Amino acid sequence: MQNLIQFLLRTGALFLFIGLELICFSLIIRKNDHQRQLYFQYSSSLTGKVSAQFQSFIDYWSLREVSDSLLNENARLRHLLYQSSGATIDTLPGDSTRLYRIISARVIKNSVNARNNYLVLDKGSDSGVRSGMGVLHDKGPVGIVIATSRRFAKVLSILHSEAMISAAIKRNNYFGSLVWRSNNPEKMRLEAVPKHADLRIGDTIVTSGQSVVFPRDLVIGVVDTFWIERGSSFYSIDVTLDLDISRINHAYVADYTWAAELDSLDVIQ
Amino acid sequence: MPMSRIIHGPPNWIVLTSYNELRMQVTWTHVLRFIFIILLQGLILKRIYLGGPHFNFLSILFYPVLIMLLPMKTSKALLLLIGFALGFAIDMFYESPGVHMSACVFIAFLRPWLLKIMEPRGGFPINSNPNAQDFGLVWFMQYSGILLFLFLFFYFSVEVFTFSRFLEIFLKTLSSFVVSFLTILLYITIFNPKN
Repeated sequence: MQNLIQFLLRTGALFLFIGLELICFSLIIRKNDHQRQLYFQYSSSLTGKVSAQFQSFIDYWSLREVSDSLLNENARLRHLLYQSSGATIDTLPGDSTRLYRIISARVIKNSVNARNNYLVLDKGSDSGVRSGMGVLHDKGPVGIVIATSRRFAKVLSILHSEAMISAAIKRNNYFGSLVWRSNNPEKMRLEAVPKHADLRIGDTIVTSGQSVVFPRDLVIGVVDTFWIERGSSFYSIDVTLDLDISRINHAYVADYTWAAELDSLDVIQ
Repeated sequence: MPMSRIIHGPPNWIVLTSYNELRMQVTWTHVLRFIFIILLQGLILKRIYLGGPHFNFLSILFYPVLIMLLPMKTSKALLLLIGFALGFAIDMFYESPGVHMSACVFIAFLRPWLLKIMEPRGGFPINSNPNAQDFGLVWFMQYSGILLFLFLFFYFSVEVFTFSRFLEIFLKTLSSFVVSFLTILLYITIFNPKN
């Protein structure tokens, strides 16, 4: 013990140096955009490789479930296909669903228990995934791509304190923003819906299409409870998610076809 | 008058100096020099783009001279803390939290090692300080040149943040070294700091 203390005192300056540099680098990574992006690229390609190995092991045990959910999805898509090739005639060039190119990916890293959660997908810039694209699942939105390396993409989960999704009540199109206030991965909070909106428990909540990250009318969940804070003119709505993010192992990246064109307009103030 | 040392006190890297030494050395000169150089660097030198808009490789970064000129007896811990604070102040002007800080802490850590290597035969004279006045211009040019180069290399590595662009880091370090070093020489010729 005495030796340990003496050792610490003798090399104290070294420890102080390491401590200060750690503070510096955490500042650099948190507060500087350029460095943060590179850091995410490093870390996602590094941890991505390890996680991919581990996930391939886990995948083996859930093959049955995956094939079930793929079958369901196939059935649903087939259904849509038959519907649209029938009587309906496209009067507008390209309806909302066709504006997106869908890239399917496997989830190789995922968390729901932190305050800020991230996912890693096994498709990266080589497959056309870019930052800012929406990530979804058959049962609702999952998150937004924030960084890509060649083979992997890091996704900011909707279960993140900074995530905000524009969502609407399907029945009457009143919209608000969906955020994650609790630590419960099954519940999110819909805010900024004006209090004159007609609202009932059990109403379906869908993506509003106000932003092009997600296609519109993607079902998110149903209204669980709602109330009005004292002095507020907006509802606070608790929404039960259809999607259990803790169990997903595949997801789709939605690439909005004219994202670049839209961004070029956003630059103009 | 010989100064009394604390015998059973905290270890060497914590004890700055005895009270008398402290009073002698931390004078207003140091404080004023810090304020002057930080403002000079942050308000004026930051806005000078020698290379023009298309050759972004020349930055004058000469404020590390503050760390080089600190008194010989400054303890290792205090050096690190001063470097940390100095980098923090400069980062405020450059709006790059942590980047200057990490480079300053880095050379503050290396300074005692470098001084040990560059110690003249027979050791440093009592009450001497690492400047051109006490050891001559050539010694100071070597000393400040090495520290400045290490500083710039570390700084640009952190700024670019990937060694896959090593050539860019190296070019920036070299070209900025030339102008920053000239600025340091200019500074010590004009002001000739003594302590």
